[in-house]
Amino acid sequence: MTACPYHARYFNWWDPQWPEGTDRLLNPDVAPRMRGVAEKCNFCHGRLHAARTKAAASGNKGIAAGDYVPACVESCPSRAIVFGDLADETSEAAGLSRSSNTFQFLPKLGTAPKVFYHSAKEWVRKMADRAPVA
Amino acid sequence: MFPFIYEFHWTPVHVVFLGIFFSVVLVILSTVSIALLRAYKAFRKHEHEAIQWEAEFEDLPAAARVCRHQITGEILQRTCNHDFDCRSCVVHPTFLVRRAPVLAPAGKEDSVFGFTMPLDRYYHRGHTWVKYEGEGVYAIGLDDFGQRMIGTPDAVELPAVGTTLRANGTGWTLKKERATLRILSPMDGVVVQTGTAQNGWFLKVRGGEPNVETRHLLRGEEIKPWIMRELERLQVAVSPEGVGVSLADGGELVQDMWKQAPQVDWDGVWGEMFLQA
Amino acid sequence: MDRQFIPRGLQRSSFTRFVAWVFPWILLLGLGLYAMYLCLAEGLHHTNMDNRFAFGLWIYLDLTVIALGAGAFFTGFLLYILRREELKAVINSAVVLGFICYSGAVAVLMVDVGQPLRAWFTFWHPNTHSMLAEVTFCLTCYLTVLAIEYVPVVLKNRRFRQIPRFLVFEFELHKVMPVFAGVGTFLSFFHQGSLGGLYGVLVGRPFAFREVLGIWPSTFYLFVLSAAAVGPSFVLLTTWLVQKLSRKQLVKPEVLRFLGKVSGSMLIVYVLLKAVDTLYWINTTAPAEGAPAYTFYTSQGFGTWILFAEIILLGLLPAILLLIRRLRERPGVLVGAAFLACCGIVMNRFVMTIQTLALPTLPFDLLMSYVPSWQEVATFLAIVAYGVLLYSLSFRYMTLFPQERDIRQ
Repeated sequence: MTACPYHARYFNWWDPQWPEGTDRLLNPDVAPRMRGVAEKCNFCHGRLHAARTKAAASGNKGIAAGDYVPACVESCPSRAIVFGDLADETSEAAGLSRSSNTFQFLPKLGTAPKVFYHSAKEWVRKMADRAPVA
Repeated sequence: MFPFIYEFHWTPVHVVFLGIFFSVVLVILSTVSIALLRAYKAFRKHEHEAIQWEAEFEDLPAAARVCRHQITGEILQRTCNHDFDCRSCVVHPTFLVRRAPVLAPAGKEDSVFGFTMPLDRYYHRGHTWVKYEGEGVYAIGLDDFGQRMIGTPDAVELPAVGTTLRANGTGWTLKKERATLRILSPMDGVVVQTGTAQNGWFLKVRGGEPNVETRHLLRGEEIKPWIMRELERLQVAVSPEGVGVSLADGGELVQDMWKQAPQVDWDGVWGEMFLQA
Repeated sequence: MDRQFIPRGLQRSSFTRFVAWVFPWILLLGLGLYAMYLCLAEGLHHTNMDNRFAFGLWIYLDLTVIALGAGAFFTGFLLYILRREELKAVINSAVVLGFICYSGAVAVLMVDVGQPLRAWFTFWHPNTHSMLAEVTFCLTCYLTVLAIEYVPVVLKNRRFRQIPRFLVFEFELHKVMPVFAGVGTFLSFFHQGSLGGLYGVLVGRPFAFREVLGIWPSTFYLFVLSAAAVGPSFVLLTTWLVQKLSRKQLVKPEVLRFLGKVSGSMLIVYVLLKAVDTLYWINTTAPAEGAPAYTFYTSQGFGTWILFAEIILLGLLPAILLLIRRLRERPGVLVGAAFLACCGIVMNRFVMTIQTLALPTLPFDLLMSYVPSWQEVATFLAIVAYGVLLYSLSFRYMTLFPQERDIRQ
């Protein structure tokens, strides 16, 4: 939690509490854990495992490009999130990551994040890093 | 690390790291075990008396560990580093070559500030005396200095006949006013008879040759300077800050110091004077 | 009333006065234990840490007391390995202090960590690339070593030593003490260093990040050096404090001067290396991460004065004071310089934890502020109270200062 400069780690400061009856609204596949555990976005790895299991069950080696997306990608109404395999040169995600309007936050730190941002506006792209050294 | 944990792969880093850690743990555990084992063996061999004396001696203040040859003025300054066991000290015989103090015949006494110290016997630094009675039997008692410091003890526990005594080990114990005092045994030997304060002696012990057994004990001309020094130590022990109870110069000591000055930490004083840390 | 437990020849206050001294600390300990219970049973929301301020009062204090507690291993090293016999006068006190510091640090760590019951994971599923795994291993071993070194001090109590078994065991243990001193030094070197090693992987915080020198980052060596430098000063300081509080002279002045000299020598080396490291960071490391060094000092309260205070005022100055013999012989200067040196290390650990976390990471972040909650403060004070209690008990019933008896005469 100290190491992450992107504020992407969350600590369970208390036990999750659900008002009476609302626990029936919970998704059985996903749940926050008890107090004292650090959480983060894991790109819905449960879905990844499910996709792999499904592929293995039908005899395929690996999963195809569209077989697995995180829930946020699937539910975004303006389709503002693109998800894919960066190692696969032909994927949309890999192609977008090479665009000149795409940037990462704090690229010089050497953290090599897998989250890229894309904006046509220069002032937005400038916010990704500190002012360059003179 | 172990087969139960899947997807774990051993790498050289793992070997180095865990190797170092477990070696350290091993070193710690084995060293503690060795110490325990040695302690057990020493205990079985009844060496705990010697060990006890060695440990106590180390914790005595420097003033209590002055070498007998500094007391007599033969050497300017020397602290005993041999647990008062002159029998095996390498320095002690070099002094004997120059001058060896001797026992006086029976009846000759030294009166040092009112203490009666018969010169026909040997004295241990822990204030016991040893007198050879012939045929390998020695009598052991408490000297006048020690006697007056304690007065009349509430209880005296003597070792049973047949007990082996070691020099500087436990001789017998006294109880006075909730304090238990261990009187150190002045010599090695086997107890053949026990006595009382009325007899004048507490133990009769069978030992070896008189000159061999008693080399480490004080005698003759060493007694007076020793008692004078003990008086100084007693004064300091009774009132370290120099105020309060003090021993008047030139006066004689009363029979029971404890009764005269009950506010003094006598347990501490006795420990100091009878060589217990 | 408890005279028979107090070592012979020593003067201690009456039992009633002792109870009166001990009582408020017990209350403080009780309050702290309640705060710890709240955090353990209900969650760490009782603290004022949050997702962005993950290092709080406790981590800062852990690092500080571990650095200060280094006096134990360093004094042991000087005495048993380098055979500097004058340190016999303070080794018992140093061992007790070390034990208090490390056990206190581990206790606070158990509360700070989210899942203390899973602490055994570190041993069973070790991540050997992790600096903190290394710290955990070393701390556990070292705490064991300290406990073993504490045992002879306890067994030499006036009543315990009358039990032959205890005395013989203590005697044998004392004979092998150099082994434990050596192991302790080895372990301390690594865990003091590994706490600094963390900053070699903290790429996300350019303020604290340091590049690798050999296999460890420069902060590894700096942390070891600073701990070794401040250890003797801390022993010196506490001895002086205990002398003041008990109104007795407990050690001969030469012992304190020797500690000061050692501390000063290590401190000057440390200050030199730290200056070099800081300059390198300013000129090379920070700009390479896209963050010129001056940007970290523009916020209110964290100006460049911190840098100068830490290195010059609280580092170079006490080092010089402690190295000049004539100044060292003046007790006021000696103790004052030791105090400054300790403050320097306290400040260094503050900078590496609290300031590091407060500084913004993303370009549009603001400086964060953090004030510990009462539960955090109470937990910290509980550790202080525990330390005072344990030390008071040890001081009263055990011989922490062998020279005290000789000095009395």
